[in-house]
Amino acid sequence: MSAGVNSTLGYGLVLLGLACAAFAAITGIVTGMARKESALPWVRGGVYGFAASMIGSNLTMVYALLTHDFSVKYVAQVGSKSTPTIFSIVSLWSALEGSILFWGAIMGAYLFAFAFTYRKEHGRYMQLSLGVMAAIATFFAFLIAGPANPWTQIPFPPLDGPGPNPLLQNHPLMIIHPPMLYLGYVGMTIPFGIAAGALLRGELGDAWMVPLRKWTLVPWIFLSIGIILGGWWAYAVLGWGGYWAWDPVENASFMPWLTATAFMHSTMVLEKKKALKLWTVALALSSFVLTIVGTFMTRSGVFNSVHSFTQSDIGPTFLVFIAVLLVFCVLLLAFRGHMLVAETQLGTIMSREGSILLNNLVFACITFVVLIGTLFPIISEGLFNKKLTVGEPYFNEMALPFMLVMLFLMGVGPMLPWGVADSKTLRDTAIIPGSAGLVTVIICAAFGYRGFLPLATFGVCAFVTVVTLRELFLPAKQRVDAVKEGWGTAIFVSASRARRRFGGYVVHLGIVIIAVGVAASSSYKVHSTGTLKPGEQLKVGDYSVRFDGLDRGQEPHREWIGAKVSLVGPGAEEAIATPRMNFYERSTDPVGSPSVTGRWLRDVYVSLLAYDTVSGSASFNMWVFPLVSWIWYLGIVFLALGTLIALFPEPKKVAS
Amino acid sequence: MKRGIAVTVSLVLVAGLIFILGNAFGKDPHEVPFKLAGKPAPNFHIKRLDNDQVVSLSDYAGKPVVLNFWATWCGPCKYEHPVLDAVSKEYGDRVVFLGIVFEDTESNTKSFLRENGWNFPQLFDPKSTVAVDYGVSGVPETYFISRSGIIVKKYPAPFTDPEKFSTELEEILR
Repeated sequence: MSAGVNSTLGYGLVLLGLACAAFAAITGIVTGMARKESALPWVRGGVYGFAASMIGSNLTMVYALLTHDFSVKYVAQVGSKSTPTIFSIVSLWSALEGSILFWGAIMGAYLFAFAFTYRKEHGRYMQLSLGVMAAIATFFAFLIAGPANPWTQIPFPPLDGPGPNPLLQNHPLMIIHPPMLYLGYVGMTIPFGIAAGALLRGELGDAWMVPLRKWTLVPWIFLSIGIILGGWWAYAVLGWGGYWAWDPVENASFMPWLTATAFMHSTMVLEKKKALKLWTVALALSSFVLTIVGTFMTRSGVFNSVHSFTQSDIGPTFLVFIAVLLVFCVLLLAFRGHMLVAETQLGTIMSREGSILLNNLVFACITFVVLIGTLFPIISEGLFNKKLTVGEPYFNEMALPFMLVMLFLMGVGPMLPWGVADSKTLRDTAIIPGSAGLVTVIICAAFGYRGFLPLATFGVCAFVTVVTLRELFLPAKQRVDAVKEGWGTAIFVSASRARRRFGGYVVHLGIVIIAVGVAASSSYKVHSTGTLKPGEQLKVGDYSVRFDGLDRGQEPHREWIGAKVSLVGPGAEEAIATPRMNFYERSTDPVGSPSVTGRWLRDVYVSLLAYDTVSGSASFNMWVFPLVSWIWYLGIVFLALGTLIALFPEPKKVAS
Repeated sequence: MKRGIAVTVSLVLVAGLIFILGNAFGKDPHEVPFKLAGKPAPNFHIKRLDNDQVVSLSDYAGKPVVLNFWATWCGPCKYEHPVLDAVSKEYGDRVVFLGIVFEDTESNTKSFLRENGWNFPQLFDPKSTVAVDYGVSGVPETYFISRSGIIVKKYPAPFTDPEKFSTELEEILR
């Protein structure tokens, strides 16, 4: 293809996308406010046009990356002939301009899926909601067409490029972690549009709650998986022996997750009790606003974070967008909020709705604590001209107690009935799970485990597990007893009759597993460090690590130096590992690649710190992390499975 | 009335947030104040790669010194190479230029120098002790040391423009 064709085609599609989105936004909002539903097909057409253009532009970029068309500025910036094909595709989101373009494609796909799914339903809300979503799409299309244009043409293309950011090439997890987060972030546009549409119209009917809930759950699961994969990636690549550091960008993804989780719970109160309407809608709005603030944190270069590798000048444009968005939300809630009034009063705190209200308050507190901690360095610099950092101790001390309360509420909530709880029944219901919690603490303490926070976490997790398993399997047991079904059939039938409930409890189990993994791996890790000559060994926990010498190698896109080590476990089992340092052409520092020898109960983690080729010695950082792999292997499975069950479509009711 | 107050308070908060975020533009959040500026440069005794002779900073007492930490595996160091070469040719009679190889092998460095040549002494820091003393956080990094042996500043990025380098140098020559 001759030089310039890709640029012209790609940029032309972006402009077309911008035009379609702007058309859909204006038509949707103007005709929606005037309640002229006849314009809906036009709005939908604009949305489809935006989706097709953005996906087309992205495919063109992938083609340009794969064919090394260095006349395209973005390809010259991140492409390289020596980069393996899979990482050439991944480089689509490895730098700012490409990642915003990719954002556009995901937004297009979401908007298309939403508009297409409800093409025959919800006409009264659709125009306004699609209009709001298209307005957001217009902003992103404008960013791609202007400040973050990846399609600029280079008059004298280089013969080769530097390849993508080495950190992104260093591990296969990078292939899926960013897209998962983007799917989570971008997906929050849909519930925002649904909620804003309802507010603009001034009504929130029961029917419109279903898409609001479902289309929050979709980005929620992607965000959850994205966050866990990010932790896993940090653990497997960065070599500092951790997976969560309360880094601004980690916090940025965590905050919308917290508000979206709170939202998922408050919708239950809304459905059952017709209360918390405005609060629920506000949570949907804030989840989206927080994703935009999060994107600003990653992309503006204003925050000190390991993730802000894309310094850019889109910051001011984004800031204007955040300002417009916040003012829009404030005015919307102020002038339309009174139309979403509660139809009933909430009762006592000792009820299901009371526990959910408490749960929402705790989620709001955690979000506030994280937000203040994240913003504090720039508040301090802006107001007092003092450079400060807010580290892990603040977040751990402020947020962890709230999280423990949250975990406890995960057990208490399901035990409580809607309305008024009878205290005797409650006592009877609590006795087995409560005892399970206590026994767990006693057993852990007897085995020598110490520390209030981890022991309390294990105890509360046992309590929640028993409550959750009982809630999951009690309906099945009743079927086994009453209908004499087999257990398999009974579980299937009871689960498919209450998919949301069943799926929700499976997600709760996933959260319990993650909590146990986090508590065990952060409280009972064993650390050792030292410099070894070949043949020497070092103890870390129950393991001996023997250094067998240095090794080196070359791959098309990098060179590496590795340390061959043999791990001997308590049962004399042996494993070989090679922690490495990778050297990439464009990197100013070597990129570590620790070795993780994983087992279900513990990981042995060896990181190569330094080496001396003259004496042949090497320095290591080593850890044994108990139960850490539960966070990603089991956590992701349970969360995804639970969400899929909850999202699985109910059979359509046939009118008799 | 109540609504008016709530809206006003919310909008003030929004304005505050936007002001704080906007105020952070143009400042480098990664910038760590360089604590060694104005302090005596740590002395060192490490060998030259070309003749194995041990070199100390104190050998150059009374002369301004430029220390450049670099490595053969670092791409930006390679781009910086011709810039250093050009500047050292121009200022070599007034300023001492020393290269210090960071976390690299002797053989890699020697073959790189054979291929590309170098205009000033290259020293080998096998255990990175000199790099630690100087607080090197990545390569390339260039330290400017005054005649009186005081670290004037460090430049924590590659020089891509000889003129920029000259401007920085003039400060220690004053």
